[in-house]
Amino acid sequence: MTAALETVDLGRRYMINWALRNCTLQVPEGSITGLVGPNGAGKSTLLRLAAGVSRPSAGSVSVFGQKADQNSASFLARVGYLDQDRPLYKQLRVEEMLKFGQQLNASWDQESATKWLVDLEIPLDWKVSLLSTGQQAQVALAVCMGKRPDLMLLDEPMASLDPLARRGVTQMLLDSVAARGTTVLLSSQIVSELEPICDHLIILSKSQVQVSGSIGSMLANHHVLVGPEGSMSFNAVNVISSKVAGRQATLLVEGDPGKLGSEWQLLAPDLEEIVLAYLAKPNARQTASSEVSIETIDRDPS
Amino acid sequence: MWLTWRRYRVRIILMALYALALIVFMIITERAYQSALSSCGLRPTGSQLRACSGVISGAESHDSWVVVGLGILPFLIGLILGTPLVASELEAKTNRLAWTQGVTRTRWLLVSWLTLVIPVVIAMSLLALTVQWWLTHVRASDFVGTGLIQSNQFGISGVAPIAAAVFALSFGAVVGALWGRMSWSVAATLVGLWLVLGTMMGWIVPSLAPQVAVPVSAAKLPSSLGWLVSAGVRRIPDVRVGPHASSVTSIVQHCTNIANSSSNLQSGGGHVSLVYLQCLNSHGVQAVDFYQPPSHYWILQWREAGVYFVLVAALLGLSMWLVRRWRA
Repeated sequence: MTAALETVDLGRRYMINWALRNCTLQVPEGSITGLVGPNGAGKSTLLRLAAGVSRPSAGSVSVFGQKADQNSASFLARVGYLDQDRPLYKQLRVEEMLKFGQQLNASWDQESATKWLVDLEIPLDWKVSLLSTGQQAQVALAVCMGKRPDLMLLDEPMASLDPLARRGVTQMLLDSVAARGTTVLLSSQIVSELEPICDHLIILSKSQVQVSGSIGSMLANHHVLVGPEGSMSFNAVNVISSKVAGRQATLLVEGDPGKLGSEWQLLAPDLEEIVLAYLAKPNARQTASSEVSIETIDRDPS
Repeated sequence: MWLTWRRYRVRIILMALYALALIVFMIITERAYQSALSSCGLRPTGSQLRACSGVISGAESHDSWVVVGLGILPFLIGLILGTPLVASELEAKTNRLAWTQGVTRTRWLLVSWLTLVIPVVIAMSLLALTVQWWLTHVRASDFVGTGLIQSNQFGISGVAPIAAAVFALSFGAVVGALWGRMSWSVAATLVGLWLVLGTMMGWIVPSLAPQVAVPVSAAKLPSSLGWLVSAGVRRIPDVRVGPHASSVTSIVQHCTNIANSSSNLQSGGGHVSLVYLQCLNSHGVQAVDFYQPPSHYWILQWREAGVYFVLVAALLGLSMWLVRRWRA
């Protein structure tokens, strides 16, 4: 599987602070990859760099083998970007926003974009400024989707959407991937809304990539071990988190724990448990992942 | 192009209405002026003009309105059309929307700029034609023979104002791209345009063609030879310097004192006293005025326009560089 997006030692610094650093990852073509992390982890920065909106302070970012550069028409034609602020021309009417997309994109799909908004009962003749925040988000999404890009970079697309609209967006993304093989990289604070649609996941923490890989292998490689406190010794596994309640210890580990004693119980964690465990320990790193199609080389910044 | 037109159409229409109002005002005042002159039954010759002095002063008051109305146009264009071109996008973050569509930043900027430049050039050209026609009353009453070379008329007529308007638009765009904030950009554009346009009219334009040095005569009006650029003194060749004249400066001081003592040196830059001039001559120094003669009108117009267009090209290049380099 080739990479739709590839970053090598990518970094972006604002004044003296690094918003993102030493980020090396690949997003496979045709995948829907979730990007999670706490506030200020660098999710939006990574997406802006990938869209060419921002320029790297260090390292490189390429899309389909081409350097992310907004002065390249061929790059722009392949990438769609939804900013977290949902910038729109507020004085324009909704139908004019679609005309804007049509005027500025050669591969514009007017029918799909219009249908998307009509289905959501967003009045096309209203000024954008009169729409609710959620409706504005849908218009911004329609402009991004109507471009028919090969790579969609969506910064928290579900934020400010009602549950019904979230389901619609989810279906739209799945349809787009199925119909056109579009690669999607979307960020979110909420793991549960990513799980049903994403097949890959990237966890960013403290401006660095903590984990990145397919969700399937991530679930397969992480285990919850429950057993007596005091007998915790697992050389073969990477202990991500541990907590002790009374005399019972619960561990989230990465790797095959091998043959366990009868006092230990092996459970399968859900994705949210894994993500939260990593986010709680920003220095924890994924050490191995079988059948991972996204490689992560997380280097020491020093 | 559609996007820029859609976003700026109200501003463009308002600017067009302003230009139209100026044109209508000029047509009305010119007709009223010509009618008044006809009612005097006069051809505007020196002695008869005094009889119609009321008509002339009335026209001059209209002149000043038009001069002000046209003079502020570059500022309005720079502030209303130029500054928001990039600054409003950056401030509203719509650049993240516009610059991630299928056109490059360079193309986006060029097309946006061109969409605004075209109506500006059309409006300014119509205004320029009207101004040339409107100033026919100045030429008709051209009792001093200077035509349109006088600085007030020079500044609002010809091709240079068209170039100045394009410059103002480009200048506003660059300032906006540099600051990225509307409030700061508006202030900086206003101050910057005032400095550049002032410097251009006061210093650069008078130097764009060789000036004519004319010895000052007490009998002749200083404005009679064209655009009086500056006044000064120079040594008369092959004339021995008298005992009081170790330097030109001291001669001027000496003669000024003599003229003052005889209360004949007129203040305010009008006629120069005969005593003063004779004193200078007796010390081998001559008072001279430097003019741009009427024959230099079109040379200066085209050269000024050329300077503006060179600046426009530089500003356009700079704004493209800034937009290409802009980091979100």
